[in-house]
Amino acid sequence: MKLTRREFVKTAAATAAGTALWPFLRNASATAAPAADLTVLTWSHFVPAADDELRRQAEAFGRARRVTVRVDTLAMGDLPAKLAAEVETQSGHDIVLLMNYSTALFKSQLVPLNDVVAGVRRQYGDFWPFAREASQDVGGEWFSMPWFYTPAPGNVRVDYFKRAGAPTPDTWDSLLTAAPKLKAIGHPIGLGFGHHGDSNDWLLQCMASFGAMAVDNKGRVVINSPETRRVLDYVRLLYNTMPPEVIGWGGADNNRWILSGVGSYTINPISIYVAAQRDAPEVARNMDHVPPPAGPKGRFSTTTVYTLGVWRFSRQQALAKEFLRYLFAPANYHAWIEASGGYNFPLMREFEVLPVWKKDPKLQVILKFGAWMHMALWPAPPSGKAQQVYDSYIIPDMFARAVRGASNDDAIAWGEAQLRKIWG
Amino acid sequence: MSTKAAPAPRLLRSAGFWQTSREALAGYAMVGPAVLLLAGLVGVPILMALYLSLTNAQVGRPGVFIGLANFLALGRDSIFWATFWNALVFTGAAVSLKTVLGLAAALLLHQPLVGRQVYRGLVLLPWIIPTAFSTLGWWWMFDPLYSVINWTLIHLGVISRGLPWMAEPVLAKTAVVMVNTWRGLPFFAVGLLAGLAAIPRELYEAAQTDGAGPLARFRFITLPLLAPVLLTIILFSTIMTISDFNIVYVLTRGGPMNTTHMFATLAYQVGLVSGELGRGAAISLFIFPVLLVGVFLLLRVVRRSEVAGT
Repeated sequence: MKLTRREFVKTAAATAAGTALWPFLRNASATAAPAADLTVLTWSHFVPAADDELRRQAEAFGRARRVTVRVDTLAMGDLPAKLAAEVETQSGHDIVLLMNYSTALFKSQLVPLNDVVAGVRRQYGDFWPFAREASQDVGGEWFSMPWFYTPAPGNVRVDYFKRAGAPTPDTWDSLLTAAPKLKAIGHPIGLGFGHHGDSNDWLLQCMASFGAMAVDNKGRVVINSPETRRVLDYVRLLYNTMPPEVIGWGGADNNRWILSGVGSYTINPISIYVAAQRDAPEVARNMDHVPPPAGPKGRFSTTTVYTLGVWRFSRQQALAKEFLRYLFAPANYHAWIEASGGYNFPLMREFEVLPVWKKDPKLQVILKFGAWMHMALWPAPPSGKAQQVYDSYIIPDMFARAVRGASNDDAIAWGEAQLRKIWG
Repeated sequence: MSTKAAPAPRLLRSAGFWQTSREALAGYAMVGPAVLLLAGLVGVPILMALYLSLTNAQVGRPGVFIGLANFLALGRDSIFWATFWNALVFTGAAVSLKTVLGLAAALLLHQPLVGRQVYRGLVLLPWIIPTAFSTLGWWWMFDPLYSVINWTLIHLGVISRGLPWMAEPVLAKTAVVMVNTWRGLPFFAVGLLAGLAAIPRELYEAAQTDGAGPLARFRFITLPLLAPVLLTIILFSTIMTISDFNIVYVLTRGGPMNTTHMFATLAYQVGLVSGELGRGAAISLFIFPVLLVGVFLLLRVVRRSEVAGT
């Protein structure tokens, strides 16, 4: 009796523990077995063919080196949280995609890539200054490998502008003159105010071209300025010509706006055109790309800058560096740009000679972007704080408040308070 | 199973003590793994969140102890207060809607209709489909260019121009409550249906003989006997609604202008996306007291109905 009871207890406890823990044990062994030697985390590309090409190169690299390389993709908006989680748990991928100021944000977690970058620079020449900022090049220390950026021209429906009797816009003023006419013919312009990089980008470049800035080059919050008030007034007028849904627009909404044949103008990388050539030839035929609008202080552009970093906790740092070099072998880099239809744009002038941009007159303008381009919060010093401002969408929210009825003072006061929470 | 043995006869008491303790040991052994798992998967994270909320930790930087500064900063933050009210209003509106509509659905499904089994199966669909997936479907139905809801309303002549569902705060909030209600309705309907099935038919027959009409029968038989089930379901749903993440995250991402955040999505936005781990943890802890009260009430109801059942 005694023995059976004790036995029963033992068996019951063991079974219970085993049952409860079984899924975890099984998972642990399952992830351990087919694990890749090298893992890469990047975004789900707006031009999916580019991801296919990247995976093809990863496979080829793996075959040559007798290793497995796995490329994982994630929606752009989900990347910041994923990177944060990987840093906090000190586990995850070896190579990760870093956007804008993310390199600065995660600097202490990243392996310096000076040797890789030096090799690429020796071979192809130097990067644009904004790429150095993105990769946190301070005194020759590169914490990520500049990969590409996506020049964002004005996407114009030439036929609608003609029908409305307006010239294609070269300045913010001419855009504002054209906008009501386009609204009148049922094809309004559309620029988003939602929580997406596109909203940050067009508003920040608009601010810059009016001489307004969120933070100056000394890191002081200077959003409360007459220039910001002027931009708020301007954007309010522009918003009145747009459909109300622009307030909630995400990254794909302005693409659909043009692709549907309704919209006449937006600011976006050339992914709309690339998609239109495939899915909406009528739209592709009638659209063109123009420089970003100029303002009283000049012509400015900002858009996402993409770099690749290697985590310090990675156990495959040497292999990761080798893979980065492999991606920059001319044949590979070119094939990957071709696959993206020219959307992936190099961060060094020497690479801008590819036929993909030369053969299409509608893509000529993006070859000029290097000179107009700045990091998003320019002239603020590149830092993790800048990335936090970008990821918190303070600028789009401030403008959304203003165009929906808040006074300039209230909108600025709100924006300034939010900026100070981050910048102090 | 009870861990308290019935009082043993006096003669055997000393042996009984050992037996009881061995029995208790078996009980602990069986409960142990579950408790350990809970402690590991729930207890540790809660303690971590408590600790983080008292620091200025950022992603990749441990941070130092700053006392209640995060909570004080939240008290001054307009986005946090908007979220606080959202949590109350969303939960209140969605749970009320689910209660009324769920009860109606349960009463309908309880009727001896032809093909009742099919309807009962169909009603469960919103509950079975993964939330992220079904919410994407809703997101598409609210899309400014292709909204089937706008299309219907325009063709019915209700509106002349499409509503900007995700751009107008009031509409976006309505959309979140609508989707949450749609998603949680089956839980109410099926739960209450089970409750209805458990009410003895004789009660209705007796009432009918005494001349009670349908309303009186609902008021004096159905509702009181359904109350324990109803209460349990409402409490469960409150807990799940107030801590919801998926629907808001997929549908609005907290927008427009941070007007549709719930605690969970704001904590995610601040803590992980913007990297302010400490402040994010502080936000997430605000759900905790609400859940604590909810669980306390829930357990009371469950215990009372258990007592009533025995």
